[in-house]
Amino acid sequence: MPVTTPFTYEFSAVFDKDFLLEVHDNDLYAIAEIFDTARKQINNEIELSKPFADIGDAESLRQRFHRIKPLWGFAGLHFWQQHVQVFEDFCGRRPARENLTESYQRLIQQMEVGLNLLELEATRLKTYLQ
Amino acid sequence: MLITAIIVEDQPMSADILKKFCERSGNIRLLHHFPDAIAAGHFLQSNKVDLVFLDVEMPGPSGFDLLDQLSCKPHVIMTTADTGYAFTAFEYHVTDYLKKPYTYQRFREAIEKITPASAPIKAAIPAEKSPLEEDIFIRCNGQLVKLKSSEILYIESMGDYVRFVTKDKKYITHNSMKKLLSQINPDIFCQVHRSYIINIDKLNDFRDNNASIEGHLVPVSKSNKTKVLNQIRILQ
Repeated sequence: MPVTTPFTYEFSAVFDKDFLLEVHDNDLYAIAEIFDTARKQINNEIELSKPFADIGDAESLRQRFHRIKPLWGFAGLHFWQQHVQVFEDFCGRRPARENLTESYQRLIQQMEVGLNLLELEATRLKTYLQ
Repeated sequence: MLITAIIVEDQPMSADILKKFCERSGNIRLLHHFPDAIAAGHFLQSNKVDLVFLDVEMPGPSGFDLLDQLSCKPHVIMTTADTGYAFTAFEYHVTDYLKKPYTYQRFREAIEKITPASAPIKAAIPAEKSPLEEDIFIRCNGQLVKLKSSEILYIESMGDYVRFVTKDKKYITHNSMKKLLSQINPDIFCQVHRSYIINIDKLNDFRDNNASIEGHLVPVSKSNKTKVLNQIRILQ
């Protein structure tokens, strides 16, 4: 495993630095990999969720986002995990289709902000590690 | 003690992190990872394991469905992103419940419920410090907080949690009194009640069944009274 000096890299404030370093045993390479993996898996799950949003299937949407939720947390973005939790709870209440669509669109916008953060941080971290 | 385990988890990243934690712990032999409860159920029909890391919501049968069909009773550590299943998990007598995302420290705490910790936190304390200067770290709100032993007035049990009370602040952390007693310095801390441990150096006065600790009254049980009296210096 590569030896790194994690404390010289300044994570963006939005990321839970202490959590990331603890979970990944101070391995910045592993953290960079987690950012990439989380982004890919979240993108993939969002793609898979779209047909359910189109037909207003709240339960299937809830199940898809249940899979997305911990990915944010493991990537150190707990706030985004909370957003998904709120949406999951909303889906669990079997909302009307138009409310579901509106809420889904808002969530996707929020997810895109998070995905951009993941991409930027991964790029910055990998540049630092080069 | 080597623990044999399997992971039942449909989410690849959650499974990968769990695998890394198992490897890092050094005392878990991971036999398999199953992405659903059906495959895991088949495996457990003909294989014995000590521990199952079990997700709740997966495609097909849930983690609880798997537990319903098991004839053997391995230790089960539930790993889920929801706290909503905690009560059901409790009714299934699971060993622990890890809410994703969990830290390695929290993972270790769960494992230590199966096998006692090989190296208690106390071992990390530098020997040259006097007992009251010893630093301890507690996990509080996802952070490791450093406390000097001399700062702690008393520790109070709150079920699965304990509260560290200092002069200015209170810190709540996931721990048990039993485990805590094996980790803290017995020269400084003394259990005075089923639910209370006091810093003996902070004891101001002791009367009836209460210890006065810098303005806080802490109950002292009859069975622990002698122990406290033995630990303080009384001039006759």
